[in-house]
Amino acid sequence: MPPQAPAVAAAPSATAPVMASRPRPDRSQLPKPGDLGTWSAPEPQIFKLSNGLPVYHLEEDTAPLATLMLVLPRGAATDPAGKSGLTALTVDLLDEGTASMNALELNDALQILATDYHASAGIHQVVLSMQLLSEQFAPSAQLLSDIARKPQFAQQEFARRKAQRVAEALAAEADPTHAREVVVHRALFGSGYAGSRPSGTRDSLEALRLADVKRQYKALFAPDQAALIVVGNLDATKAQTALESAFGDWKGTATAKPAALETELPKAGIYLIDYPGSTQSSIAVARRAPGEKAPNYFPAMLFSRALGESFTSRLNLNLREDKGYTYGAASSFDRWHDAGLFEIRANVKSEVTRESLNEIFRELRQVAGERRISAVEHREAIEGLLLGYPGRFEHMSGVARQFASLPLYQRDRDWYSRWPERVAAQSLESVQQVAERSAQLGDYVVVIAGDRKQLVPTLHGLGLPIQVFDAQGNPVKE
Amino acid sequence: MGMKYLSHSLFAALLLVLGTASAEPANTSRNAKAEPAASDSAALPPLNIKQYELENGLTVLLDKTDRLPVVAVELRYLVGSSYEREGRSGFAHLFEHLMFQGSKNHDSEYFTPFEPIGGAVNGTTSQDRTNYYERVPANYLELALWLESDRMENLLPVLTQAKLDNQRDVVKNERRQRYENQPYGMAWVHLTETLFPKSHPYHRSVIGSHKDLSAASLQDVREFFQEYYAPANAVLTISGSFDPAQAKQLVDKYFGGIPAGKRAKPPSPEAPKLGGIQHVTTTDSVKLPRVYLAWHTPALFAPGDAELDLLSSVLADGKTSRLYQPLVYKHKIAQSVRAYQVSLGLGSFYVIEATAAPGVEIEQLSKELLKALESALKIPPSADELKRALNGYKKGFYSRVEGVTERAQLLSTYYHLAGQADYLKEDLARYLSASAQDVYDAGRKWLVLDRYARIDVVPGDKPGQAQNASALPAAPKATSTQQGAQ
Repeated sequence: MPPQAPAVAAAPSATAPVMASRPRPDRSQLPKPGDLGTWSAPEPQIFKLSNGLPVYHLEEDTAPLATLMLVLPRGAATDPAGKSGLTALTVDLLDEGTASMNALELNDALQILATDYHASAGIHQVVLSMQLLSEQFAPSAQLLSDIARKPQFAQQEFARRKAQRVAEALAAEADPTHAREVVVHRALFGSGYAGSRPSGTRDSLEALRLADVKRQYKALFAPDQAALIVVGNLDATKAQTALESAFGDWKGTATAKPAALETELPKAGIYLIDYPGSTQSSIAVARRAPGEKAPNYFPAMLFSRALGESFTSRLNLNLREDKGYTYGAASSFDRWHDAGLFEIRANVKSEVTRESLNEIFRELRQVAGERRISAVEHREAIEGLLLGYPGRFEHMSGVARQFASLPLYQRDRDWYSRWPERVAAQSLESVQQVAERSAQLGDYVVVIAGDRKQLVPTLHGLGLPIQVFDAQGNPVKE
Repeated sequence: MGMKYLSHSLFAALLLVLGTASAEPANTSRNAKAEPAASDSAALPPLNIKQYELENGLTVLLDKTDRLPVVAVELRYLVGSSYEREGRSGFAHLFEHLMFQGSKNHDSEYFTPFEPIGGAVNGTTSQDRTNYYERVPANYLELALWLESDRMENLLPVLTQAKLDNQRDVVKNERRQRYENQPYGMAWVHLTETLFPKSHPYHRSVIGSHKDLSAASLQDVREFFQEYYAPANAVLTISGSFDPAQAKQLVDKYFGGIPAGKRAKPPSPEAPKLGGIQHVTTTDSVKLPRVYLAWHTPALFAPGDAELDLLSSVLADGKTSRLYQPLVYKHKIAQSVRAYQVSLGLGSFYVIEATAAPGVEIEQLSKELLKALESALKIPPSADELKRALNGYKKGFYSRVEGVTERAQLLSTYYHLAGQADYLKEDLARYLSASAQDVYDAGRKWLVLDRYARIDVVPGDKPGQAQNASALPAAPKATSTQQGAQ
């Protein structure tokens, strides 16, 4: 039995006064670091099952756990026109019953093994993942195979999950930040690649039929270009034996094709979603960017860190720490296979929406003008990324998630061990070029979810056309 | 899902970048368990914690683990929002923000020296405590100790009205972002205000009211600092890769000369007790009605706390759980249902929340929820249910000690609220030793159907429209009834 724990620790015994004469530490400057040994990121071993399916494996023995993932390099961008949310719903239905178990039996089978199962659909990826006790790896892998390869797609489970997702989409319309994201995608990518978020909208989900799901499943789920990831307390032989038995005879070719990128460029302007009575405006200033294979991938990472990704970045110091307009202002690149976006975002007090936008545009102009990225910012961005790098490998599940990018973007297995040298190699000039590219203000759309009545009079002065959208991303007719 | 330690972070911007929308560092890693087999706790990594006190009363926990060349420092002050005085709700958290605004020998952003070394830095405030932490490369331990000790000793000389005003604005924006402008975000404020009497320190929210935040003065900051921010009222935990002898020497060098102060006495309110059903109806600009039911329950680590965690799994974890299956899966009354114990130092509370399926009204939802709960509490968990519930907690225990930051936080919590830092195995044992009967008894004893708080959130006007407190909506409509649920 556990000891009777007191709710609160007893007071410490020593509260005796401290000798006043203690020598004080020298605080004239910050201490210098000691030596740090070398450290290199882990590399997975790659082996193939008899059907050619690659397995990225890393043995890591700190806990009796493992992460298992099935990764497909295709996702919601393959949803047919007008059917956004189809891939997400399809993936969601995989664990609602298999050839041998109904939804409830499968739920209990996973819980008895202590295996957590999670499925997600991104714009250009589908990931089925399991967190499990390594001693239960083989039966878990078998369940993952059943889920991925033998889903039941019963009509009643389809109807139930569809209704739930429609309701989730409805509920999400009340969240300004969610609506802002929906409209950012619509404004930048229209009805082409990445124009919809993977979860779909209330209307698009409403229109889905079971036949759509079955068709989409066939088009997506096949071993070609797929991969398995295993990180945990498990050697390669055990992993291979279990996975060969579960996935070795999987055959087929995926036919789903992603939508083409909309050729028409986004129209600059203010895209407004009305939230009457909102005390804040949820702002995004966004432009298109290249996908994960972008030639300036690394310089762009350094640029964004200096502009808005670290706490002491220009945007956060200005909008939060100087002006007090927001709880946090940030920038980031979000990249998929065929395209990406660059975005600055902040939730700001409604009254200072216009001022916040002015500051964001000022920062964008200045970073290519009178306040270019400095040598110090460049160096500190690189060092921050390099010195913080080992911290990205603390959690096994995090390591597995990073490894998933290797098959998704056809990267070499030493991508993560060579990542530091690539970061370190980027010149100041290359970062400044990204800054110049990012200062072309005509490329941006401004998306605001906030109180329309309060905002519109103040926004007119910006000289941008204002168009109102609903929370599903449709233009509102005046 | 357990929501063990609710708290407020200094910032969420970086978390957003990493794709995590919520900054609520609720520790959802559920405590572990499978069958009560000896091998379970044997598989936990042995912790080799050195605990000692400096002459000035600073408690130090050294926890060496060398898997990666990183080290985490956590400095925990044994003060949280429950120590605030009347009229100053939100102050402990506002104060936490000011700790990042510079100290005498480093009068600029606290983050500045950490970002070029990839440090992961933040602070959080809960009802019971305030913590500050940094994860840095192993060779930068001294930097973290230098900066933490300077703000412990020398915050006030460089504190200004401008800093206070700026962070007051930031915190008010945090309130807008995470409460007022978040669907159902104000429900938590109403919930603790309804569940706890005004005289109880958990009555007020950690974030506080606009009015009280506006009232906070520099004098308040000075007094709070002098009262609570002192070695005798703090725990310093170092987890990760370091040389213990060197760490000990550095801790002594930087913290040893700071005047002791005293250990603050935790508030000792009367145990709260509801007289009947406290029913409050509020509106929010949401699409679906939601009901929250809440009960007073045993404190974190007290008998009953782990049993209620296990009960949460039985009630609402997975499709075959006792509330989810009838309400969501079968009859489709609810869109979702959750059950969780919010474990706190002075006494916890237990929450069941259900969101209506489209077209279902709040009264029908509440009625069906109470009906399902009544039958769920009638029978002890089956062997299978208990095993599944325990399994849900099993893996969480290993991952709790995977990262150095979580380790440091966990050990500080153990020291503070379990009375011993080396409590990992005992914590696990709380779950391993719970029988089906224990779980059943905890539910019968604490989740009584004639005394609870009930908060309805129905679609309507936005709450908390106001930019300033005077325009905050009037208190939500409250009715009190003595009658039972049925």
